[in-house]
Amino acid sequence: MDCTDPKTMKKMKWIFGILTIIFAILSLFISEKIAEHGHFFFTCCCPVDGAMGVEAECREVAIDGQWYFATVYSLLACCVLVVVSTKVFGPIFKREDTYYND
Amino acid sequence: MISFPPGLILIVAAVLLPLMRSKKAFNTWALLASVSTFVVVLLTYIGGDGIGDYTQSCEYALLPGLGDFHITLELMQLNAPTKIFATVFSLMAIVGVVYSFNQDRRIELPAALLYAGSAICVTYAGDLLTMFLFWELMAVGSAIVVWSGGQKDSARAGQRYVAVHLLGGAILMAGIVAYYVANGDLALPNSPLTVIADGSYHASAMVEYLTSNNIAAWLIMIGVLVNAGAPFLGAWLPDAYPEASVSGTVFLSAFTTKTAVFVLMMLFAGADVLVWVGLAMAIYGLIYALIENDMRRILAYAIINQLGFMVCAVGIGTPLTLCGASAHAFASVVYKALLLMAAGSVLYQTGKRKCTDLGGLYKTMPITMICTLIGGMTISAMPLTSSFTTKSLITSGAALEYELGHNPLYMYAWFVLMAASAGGALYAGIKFPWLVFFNKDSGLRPSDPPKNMTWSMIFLAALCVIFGFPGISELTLYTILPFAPMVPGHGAGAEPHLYSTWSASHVISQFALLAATGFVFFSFVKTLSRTVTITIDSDWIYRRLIPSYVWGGLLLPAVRWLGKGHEFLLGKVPGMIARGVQSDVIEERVNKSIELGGTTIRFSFHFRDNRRRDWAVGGVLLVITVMLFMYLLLNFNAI
Repeated sequence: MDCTDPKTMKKMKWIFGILTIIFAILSLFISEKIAEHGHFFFTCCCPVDGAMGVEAECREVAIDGQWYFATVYSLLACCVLVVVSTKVFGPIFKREDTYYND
Repeated sequence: MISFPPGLILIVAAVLLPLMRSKKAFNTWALLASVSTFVVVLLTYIGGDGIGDYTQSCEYALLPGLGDFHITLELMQLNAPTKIFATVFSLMAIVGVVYSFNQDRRIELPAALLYAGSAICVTYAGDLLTMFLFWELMAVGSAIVVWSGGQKDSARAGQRYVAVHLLGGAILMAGIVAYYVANGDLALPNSPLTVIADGSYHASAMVEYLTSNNIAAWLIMIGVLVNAGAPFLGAWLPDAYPEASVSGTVFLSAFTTKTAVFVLMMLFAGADVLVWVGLAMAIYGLIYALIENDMRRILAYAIINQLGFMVCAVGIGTPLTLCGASAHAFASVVYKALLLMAAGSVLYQTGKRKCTDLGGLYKTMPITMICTLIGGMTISAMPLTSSFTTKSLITSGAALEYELGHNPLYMYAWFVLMAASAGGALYAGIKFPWLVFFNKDSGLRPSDPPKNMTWSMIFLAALCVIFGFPGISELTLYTILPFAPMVPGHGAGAEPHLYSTWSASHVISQFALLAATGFVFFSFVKTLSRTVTITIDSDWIYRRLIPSYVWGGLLLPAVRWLGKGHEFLLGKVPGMIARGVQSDVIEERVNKSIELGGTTIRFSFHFRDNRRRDWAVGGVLLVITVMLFMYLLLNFNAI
């Protein structure tokens, strides 16, 4: 296996891309409550007594929304992190290998 | 009943170990001491009635001249988080010793035992002074570990490490003194929170005092955050850890930062500022890990990234998040040591540590590669690894606090933690193994490391997987957590129940997160390509800014200029004055001749005016005159 071969890289990208879509669809099916309520994690829920007791329906929606949202969010977050760290922070913080040895 | 902190066994062993002459005896006694410590740690809590069973007071009269000034050192107190921290510390001492068997580390290993023993003793401390004493002893041990690293920059990195830790220790001590002055007591409560049966909780008096804004709290927190590797205070970590030996880095990764998490948990549970510090750590470690080229520095930044989760959890400060911080500390000690062992094995076998010099090692180092992948999957919180449960305790804790309406800002904390989790999978789960073991073939053909190193890695990899199995964490880790990790029950009137991470939606969405991360990595693989560079961190301030720019560029020229001014003032000006007064006699030549029996002997004496003497006297007079004049000016108003 030549790991630097562009074809291999493309294949890996396809594999992970398809896996992402499969898991995203699966999590959509599992998060059926979202279909019922149309809510995501960050738009719903209200405290009842401020301690451990919370309306069950409300909490379930929130939890399902949380996991569903993670799929899309992780894609965006990773892209932003890679671009920001390599294109913004890289040029600022990267130095020649011998920087401190001068 | 165990009446001494188990870490003392390792400290005594560290003192005695250099007396062992043969390598076999040296290794055997080191192993025996670490196994004994592990057993004694287990004995301190197995069979006991719970937290705070044992207290050993040692009363010492500090500064006896001050009469009644006594401080009691509580060397042995079983604190709420002690069980899990002491267990993993003593376990790491064993694995670290085994990993270093084949290396003749006559100085490093005793220092590492001193370091591990002190860390364990910190977890059993019953007062702030005892905690501080072992905290500093830990710094001594770890500094020697760095110094004895044998790397190119070990000595200098060790100096910087000592300087930073001395500063951190001084700040911590100042905070402890301020606390003592304000409260007249240094005793630590054995738990940061008291959890009541209905699930509600309240913080201890000390935590309440320290989470309020006062000078003692800030000084103690800053002193501890230095060791935790917080942004702007933690550049010592990626600076020093990679300069230790292959076995030294494994020890270093386990104790200092996790002890800091322990202390933060005991003193600052629920301090909001720690939530934001933790999030900053998670992102800061992540960004640097993504652009770093040195494999051991990548992992050093990974430590900071993962610590961010724990510090944030401590800041949220609920029983669930404190359990998450403790459990994640346990898991991260194991998988971080595993990854550093794998990196150490590559360094040991190839002599190279930069990703640009490595690649294609999967062909000849298959066991190391598999262990690295398991470590990478664990740090990525892959289902069926320990971190899947422990990281979820933290993120779910943050989400729950938002849902319960306790703090709406925790929604943002949850967002950042999820991004940091995905990022962790990116740099450690995929980038690190990809660049070291796959990618472009470097032409290197090393074999897997010696047996002791290989088996240590296999053991830790097995722990990563075992603790990830459904039900295992509940049976093992949950029993030594500081509190029971309870969540509200479903449905009206339902009882709270133990947190379980194994729901179908959670598992599938976690796989989706990891798949998305893989997709992003291979889409941006050219952007993430390796470069022969280093990254500058806040250590740039004391490695480059102060020596080169502040001292070399500003202070030194200023001093030189002042020197020239000084030379002019003390040299030429008084001379000029002197010449003005006695300009006629500067040099004199005296010729004498003696007649002895018809022979004339001539002597020639050459007197030169001793200008320096004149200048010195004149200079002193001038300086005194100037000073008196300035004194007069400054005190003119007073007069």
